[in-house]
Amino acid sequence: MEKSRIQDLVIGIVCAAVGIWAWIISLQFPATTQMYTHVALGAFIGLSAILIVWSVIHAKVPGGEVVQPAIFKNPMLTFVMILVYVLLLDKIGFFVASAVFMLGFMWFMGYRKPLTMILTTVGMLGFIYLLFVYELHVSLPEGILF
Amino acid sequence: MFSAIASSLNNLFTVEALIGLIIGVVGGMVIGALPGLSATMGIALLIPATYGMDPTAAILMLAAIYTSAVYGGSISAILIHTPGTPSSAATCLDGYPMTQKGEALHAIGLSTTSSVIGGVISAIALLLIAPPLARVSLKFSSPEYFLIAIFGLTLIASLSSGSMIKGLLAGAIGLVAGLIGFSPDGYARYTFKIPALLGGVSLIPAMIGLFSISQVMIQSEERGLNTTTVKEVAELKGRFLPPWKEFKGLIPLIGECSLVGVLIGILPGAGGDIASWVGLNLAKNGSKHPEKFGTGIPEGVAAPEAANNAVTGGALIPLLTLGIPGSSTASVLLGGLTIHGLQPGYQLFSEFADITYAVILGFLAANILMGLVGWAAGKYLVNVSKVPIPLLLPCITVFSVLGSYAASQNINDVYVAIVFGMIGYLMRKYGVPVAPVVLALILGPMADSHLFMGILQANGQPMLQYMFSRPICIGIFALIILALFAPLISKFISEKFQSKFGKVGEAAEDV
Repeated sequence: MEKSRIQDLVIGIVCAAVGIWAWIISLQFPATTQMYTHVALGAFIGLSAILIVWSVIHAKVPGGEVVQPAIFKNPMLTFVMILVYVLLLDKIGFFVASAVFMLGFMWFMGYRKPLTMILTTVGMLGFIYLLFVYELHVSLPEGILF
Repeated sequence: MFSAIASSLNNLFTVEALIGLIIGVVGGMVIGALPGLSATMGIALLIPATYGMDPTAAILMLAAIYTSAVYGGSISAILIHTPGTPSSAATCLDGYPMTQKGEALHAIGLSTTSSVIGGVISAIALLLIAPPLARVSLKFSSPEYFLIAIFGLTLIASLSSGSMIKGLLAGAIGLVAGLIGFSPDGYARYTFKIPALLGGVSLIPAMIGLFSISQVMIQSEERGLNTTTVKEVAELKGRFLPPWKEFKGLIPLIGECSLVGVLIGILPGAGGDIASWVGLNLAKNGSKHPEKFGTGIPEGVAAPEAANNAVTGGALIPLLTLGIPGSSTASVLLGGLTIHGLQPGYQLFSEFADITYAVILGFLAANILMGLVGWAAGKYLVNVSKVPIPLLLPCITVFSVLGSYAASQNINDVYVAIVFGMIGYLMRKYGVPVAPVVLALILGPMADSHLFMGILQANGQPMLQYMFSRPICIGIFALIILALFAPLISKFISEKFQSKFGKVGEAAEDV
């Protein structure tokens, strides 16, 4: 079987499994709630099944790009950095967490010009302060610092 | 209508609306000129900046971003052979050869003039066609709205840029995500006793995650590989505005392409990319020297640019009157309307006429302002493409986090954004488009509540039988069937013209 078809097959199986699980849960819902829920889940499970069948029928035909697992390394590290940044928002405040994240992410992406990095960070956070805090009065997360 | 237009001027000529207009035009041009950023992502990212704004200024800013981003994409297409948006791909074919011949500024001038004319014609069409069309929605009740939502959902097939099955599956993912929270009859579905889920999936954080955070993750794949987005930009010399003799000969072509662009914009599922190819084909078929296309001739720039900007006003017609978003950008704009409490339909042209007409007139002004800004700063704008990616990505991320939070000042929304960011990233990597998820997140709950109301209204009669007893429902059924064939026609046109004119550089992905 072509690798791209295996990918599609896995997507179809995962979606179908989630859909069936959601359907089982929906059996506890009242009849009026069940009606549209089953329409949406029916579409989801049905389309997952079509994708599974399609991948099997076209198993030998290349279909789309094959995603190499190695490509996920940097995006997953990026995701972890974003997650840590969000977790820090409530702890050390929006502006401090954002400054740390921005400088860290620029460095992570391979940028090595400290002055430009600092100016970009200050400029961006200054703009956010003026627009959101000063002008729109949005109350941003505050932490132990400010 | 005229009295509504007159009173809407008070809404338009406010400091806030004018600032929104200027930010929208300049911001849209910058977003469009940056390869990798699309109008859709730009609007999703900037909706949060509109929360505290007056609805007129907010919607005007978003609409201005839409039209300016389409124009901005042509600047990088002409100067560096990289279309900033998918709509500008056709412009590369003659725009870049003009740059190579030392006529870059001339090409940008042509693109600016044609985009302005296309945009202005589309704004006039919007002003003339939308109000009477909106009256149709007066006759709508729950069964019609349910079918309109279903009609919108059938457009998912058209929004799917790759595999249709995966596009439809993406729509189903959106429908399932839309089930979370209270159902119309008040039952808490899939909330697992987590209070944060009771209100359902917040639309704006989900959109920001799907379009912006996933884009940051995709671009981070190139960590350390490149620090700038583009190669050297050609030196710009010469005349900006086309000579009158040349322009006079182009007027009929620009007019024709603009009208075609408006029609394509009205058609659900066909956007600026299709329009620009159709425009280029019109120019070639009507030309006395078709063999010169692709060598850098003015017609090859004017035709696609007039057509793709004319799409923007056309796409707003079904969006404002019936709530049907025909493209991913329009679906995000629909989200923007919803956030400001504006429901598409007759209400927009009656109760909220002051806002709506101010937005339409402002949209007209945005297209003119776009020309002035392009004339004054177009040649410098391409420099934004030189911003290093490592500086750009943290800014997009911080703005995404801030945008998700600012909606309801709730940290849970930021988690929604990053979860949808991961989902969006994986979907895009495996060829599943993300735009249908947004459309389904908007239309799913609408279908859900109107089905529930429709059943109550049918008073025991089978729903399908009840719907078939209503003439408008039968009409919408016919549209649904037509929409199911639209992707096949759209694919045929796109493939036919792309094979005819050849492939061009990479554009921002139409997600």
